[in-house]
Amino acid sequence: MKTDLNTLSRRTLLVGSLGTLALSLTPAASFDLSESMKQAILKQYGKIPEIDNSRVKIDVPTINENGNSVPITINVDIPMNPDNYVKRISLFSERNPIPRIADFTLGPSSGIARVSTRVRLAGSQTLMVITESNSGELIAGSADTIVTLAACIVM
Amino acid sequence: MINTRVSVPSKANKGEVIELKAMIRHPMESGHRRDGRGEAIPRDIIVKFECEYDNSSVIAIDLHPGVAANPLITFYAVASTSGDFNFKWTDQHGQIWTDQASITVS
Repeated sequence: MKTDLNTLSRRTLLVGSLGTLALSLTPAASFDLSESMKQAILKQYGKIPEIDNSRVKIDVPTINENGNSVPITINVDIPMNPDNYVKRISLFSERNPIPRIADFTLGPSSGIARVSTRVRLAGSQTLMVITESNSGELIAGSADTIVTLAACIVM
Repeated sequence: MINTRVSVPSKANKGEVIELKAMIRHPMESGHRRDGRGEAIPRDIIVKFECEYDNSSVIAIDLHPGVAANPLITFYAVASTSGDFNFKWTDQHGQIWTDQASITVS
């Protein structure tokens, strides 16, 4: 696009800068997973499960000032009765030196499939959660998050 | 100094889903950092957290260096009987810390 400075209107400038801002705030697309995370998931589960964010929800702040302690809540939509429950929830990071962050083993005595903790994140990225039900069904969830000050410099 | 804090409701109705919290004061040293002289600081992390209640496991967690310092974990359990929740943390050297909290179920 060629814009003469003299003809550059206020509107063009505003629209243009908004576009740049939106672009710079968009983290990597969730289907374009990093190789280290793919390898870690394949090693543990043998395949990359389908992502269904309506059944596996990851609550993480959209923007974090500090990657050293990012609160995260994982919520799985499953009844948690002895016939149908989540037995394992694994959290993976795309950009951390070690993709595996934590593995939660639950059972019907949990009542609901929800866990929270605080994690370190080495930069803006897509987080992935893999859940395994008692019948062996694998469902994944993903969430994008922006980290202003990455934990990598102090990790 | 390492110490633990847990939160368990003192009372609950039978069958109610209750929220539990457990924290341990621990640096969770990732092994990726360097000290002032540029030497690597060795990894020192909690690798396992477990909670037992009513003779069964409520939750077991494997932790990796990506978990933040002073790990706080929030999880849930069905109140089934009056008794103790037993919390246990294990670090990479096998050292164990425990905590306990009781609940009255009516």
